[in-house]
Amino acid sequence: MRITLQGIGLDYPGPRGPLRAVDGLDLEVAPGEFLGLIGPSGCGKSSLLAMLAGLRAPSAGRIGFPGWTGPRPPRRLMAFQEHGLLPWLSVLDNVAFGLEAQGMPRAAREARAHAMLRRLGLEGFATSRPDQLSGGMRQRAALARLFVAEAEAMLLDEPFSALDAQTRVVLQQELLDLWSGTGRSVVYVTHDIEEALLLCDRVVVLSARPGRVIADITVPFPRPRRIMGPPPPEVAALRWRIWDMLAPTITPPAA
Amino acid sequence: MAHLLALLLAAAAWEAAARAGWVAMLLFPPPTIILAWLVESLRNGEMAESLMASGQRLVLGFGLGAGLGTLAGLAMGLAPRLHRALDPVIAALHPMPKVALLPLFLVLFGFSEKARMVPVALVAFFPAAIAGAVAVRAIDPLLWNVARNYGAPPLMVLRRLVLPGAWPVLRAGLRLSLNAAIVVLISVEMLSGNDGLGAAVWQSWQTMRVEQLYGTLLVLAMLGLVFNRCLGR
Repeated sequence: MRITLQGIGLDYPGPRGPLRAVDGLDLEVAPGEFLGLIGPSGCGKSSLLAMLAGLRAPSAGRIGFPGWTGPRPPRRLMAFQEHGLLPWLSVLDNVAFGLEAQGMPRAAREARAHAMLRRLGLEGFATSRPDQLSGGMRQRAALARLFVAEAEAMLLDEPFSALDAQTRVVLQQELLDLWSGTGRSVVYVTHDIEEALLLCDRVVVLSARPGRVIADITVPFPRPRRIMGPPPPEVAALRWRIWDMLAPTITPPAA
Repeated sequence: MAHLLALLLAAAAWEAAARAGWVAMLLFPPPTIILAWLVESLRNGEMAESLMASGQRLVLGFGLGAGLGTLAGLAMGLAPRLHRALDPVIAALHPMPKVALLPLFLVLFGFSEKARMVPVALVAFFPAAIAGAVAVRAIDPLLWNVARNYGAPPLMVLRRLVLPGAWPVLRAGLRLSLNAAIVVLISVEMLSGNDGLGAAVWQSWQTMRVEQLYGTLLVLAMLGLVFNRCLGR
């Protein structure tokens, strides 16, 4: 599914009138593409995801799904930095949440959820509550919930940023393995340049507020990727190119 | 174990003080006399009769009041506009002493069970309603977004998000409702009842049989313990 964003603007209520967080943003997500959004904090990355998910309406512009002919709007599901699992539900019920929302009968949705838990090595925790899991396992369960629902597009908002470095790499690889072959589009928001380059086909760099596209970079890293080893040298070189673009936006303004 | 021992020690001290005449026997009869009255009233069915009368009023009054209160509270938590409309009404009516209106209810409903249950239900309504509204609004907004994003239908949102998410705070509100209901029930029975634990309390003062008062209060404490335990800690 293709997603187009045209002239997207977003205003926040500020103390002195509305604050423009995103301004005149144009972007296209190709079918099956793994797109990274990177930019300084406050540039509206997360709000952009919320707009893509339909959780928030843009103040200006429009989001379209050209060529989509389904009977319902395409499903665009999010994964969050703070996992967003329901603390009172078992891991199994959490993973099956999206299928339950779609009205799938219990036996069928639990079979699918079990299969996904097996795939992610969580089958022993089906009856556990989220607070009985480690941070890495919670994000793994959140990924399971996301992928089992088979959305047309998946929107990930810094899902691994609260994890330790080792767990993060393992989960990044699992995410790529889960996604490869699904043909689904992914929009992945991060503030970690290296993570964006390791995961994404294309990295879009946003400016500081108001957020606009300042660079659109195709990552020369063939798939399937093994990200646990050293990345190709041209990917490593890109890291510094993007850093040079972002660095000026992070410097605090002179007094 | 430790608090049982402390209780026994306190009872023994009371017993000794009453027997030695350090405290007025008339106001503080020794525990053995209270216990003897309690055993006798349990044996002759007097206590069972009072308990049945009060228990029935409590269950019906609290059930009705707290049930409606919970519904109103959840609705207010879910609909901010309803909350804004009802909150001042609740704030104004909650502190009103319901017992003061008992004569009005007696005129309206006659000297019936209904007249005695209305103040109990009214007083149980408010804590449940207030807690219900707070409980829903205290649910993590992220979880609302998850439910919305996954397209969960309203009934599923209620069953999977609202009810389990609101329960811890709501339960605390229900305990406050219950205890307020017990206090008002006893007051109502003291004022108008010819049966029930409150009537027994009143009668014990009328006849200066203070051991009956303490014995009844002891049973009331047990009743509170059982009912509160039903709502968890």
